[in-house]
Amino acid sequence: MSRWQTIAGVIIGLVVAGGILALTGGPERGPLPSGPILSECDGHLRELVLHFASSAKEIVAPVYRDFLRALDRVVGVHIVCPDRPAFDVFLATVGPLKCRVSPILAGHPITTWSRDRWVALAPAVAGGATTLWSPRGEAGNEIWPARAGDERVGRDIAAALAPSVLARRSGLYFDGGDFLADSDTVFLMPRLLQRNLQQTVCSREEFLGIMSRELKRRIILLDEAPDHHAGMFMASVGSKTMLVGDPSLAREFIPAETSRDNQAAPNEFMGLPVGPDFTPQTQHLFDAVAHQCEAAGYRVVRIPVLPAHDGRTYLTYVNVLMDQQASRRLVYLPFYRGVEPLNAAAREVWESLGYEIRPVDCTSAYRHFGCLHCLVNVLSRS
Amino acid sequence: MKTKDMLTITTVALGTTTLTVAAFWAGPIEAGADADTPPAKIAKSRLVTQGVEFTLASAAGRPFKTGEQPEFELTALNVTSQPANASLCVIMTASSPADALSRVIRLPNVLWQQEQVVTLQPNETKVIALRASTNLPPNSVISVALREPGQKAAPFLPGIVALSFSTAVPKALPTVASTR
Repeated sequence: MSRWQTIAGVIIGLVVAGGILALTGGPERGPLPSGPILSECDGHLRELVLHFASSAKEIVAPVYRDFLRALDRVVGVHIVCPDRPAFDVFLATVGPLKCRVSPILAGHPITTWSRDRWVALAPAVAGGATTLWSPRGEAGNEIWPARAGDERVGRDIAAALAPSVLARRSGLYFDGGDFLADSDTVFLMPRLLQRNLQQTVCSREEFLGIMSRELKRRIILLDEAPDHHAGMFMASVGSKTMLVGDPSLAREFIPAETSRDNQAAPNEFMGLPVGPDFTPQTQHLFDAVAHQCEAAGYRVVRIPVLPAHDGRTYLTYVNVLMDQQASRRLVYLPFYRGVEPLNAAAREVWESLGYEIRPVDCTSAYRHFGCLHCLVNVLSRS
Repeated sequence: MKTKDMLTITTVALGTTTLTVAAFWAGPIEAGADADTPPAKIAKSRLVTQGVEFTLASAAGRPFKTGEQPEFELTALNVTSQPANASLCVIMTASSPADALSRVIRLPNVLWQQEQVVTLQPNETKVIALRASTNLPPNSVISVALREPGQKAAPFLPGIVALSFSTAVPKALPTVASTR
């Protein structure tokens, strides 16, 4: 082989390889561009993600049955399961459905709470990929093996649904439930800053800058709020209207003997640990959320929500899934057996906002610190 | 140019292209792979208040265990050119899972807290020994936070988390046979 032909071949080869790498973006590219965080109230539900672990069957079975049976046939639901037998249990549990379901087999333990594992960032361009933005780690993963498995779920889903879904891990700690997004604004819970300040970011400004760049919406960091996920006490319902929980509105539906602030002994009303919490301190936190939303330009509507003294267990009516089908608005609304008057009061509020109700029995779930919205994550809307 | 020359150039060019592309693409081609790696965490959390920078470390320089009464070293550095007088609250909280099926861990309980006042000359550093007068509970995530006195009460606003550790015995993640 003569020398000049070899040199010419190498040069041509390098030029062609450079062209290929440039055209495809190459392996050195940074994170692929993503669009804004999905709104929770705008657009038609298209693809959802649920987790199912057989150990949590008793918690989720009634919720999934009511919710999935009410979904239209155009909706696709991906069921993340540890293994195939779990998916078979899921199918037997929910029975016949109109919507399309398909398994994603993780091959490792998971919890049943899908919402907190990632947030969906819309494609940057039409027809592009949805990005699942996962937190840097899960709280309590050291003492909670299924939570260690949860850390891997964003990647599991992306691997199963590539190329239409990508996974990206954030440098920040968060739960998906720490965000509340509509088509204009993302509300961030105070606990988000607390988890990251001097851990992953040096300052509040740095934190807000990252959130703004990643989520691509107006960012509002709440200064005061109940120490829980946003979906337990607030819901943006469209047209710059915010539904905010109000314990005082729930009080009239609770037997008087269980609703005294100074009650010494724990009571067992609806299994709420240490009873309903109507303390001024807790009421103040809910009211503070309402005031901050008003200051952000939202019309605020209050709805009964009943928190327990443990600060974790809620009978809530804002932990919902919303669907917009042209001018029609639907809400998959939790109800709890045993508090029918409270359920009816909450239903009236939603109806007054123009929503058509699809009720979901969440009696089995709320004692585990979450509800419908916490169990269902939204991958895409039309 | 002869046909043989053309063949040689084409063969070498093809080989070079293949090797170059393969070399650059090796590794991160897995579908759905994370596109980035989280940056390193901040090595040492700092609370700066009233011109004094506070940091906290384990006095033993090792992880704490269940039942221990932990000892800490609080370091205060006056970062100004003026004498400084600053106070802060050190607060230790513990959280544990309600049960394996719950969405989140319980709200943290306050285990111990102490207020500390320091007076420092310009650029002076003091190291203060602290001992928590409580035994660490098992199976819990423990946080030690620094906050300015007068901030809203813990556990809702724990300030800057200076130390975080667990008293749980690490368990291996059980494997699940995948039929995928």
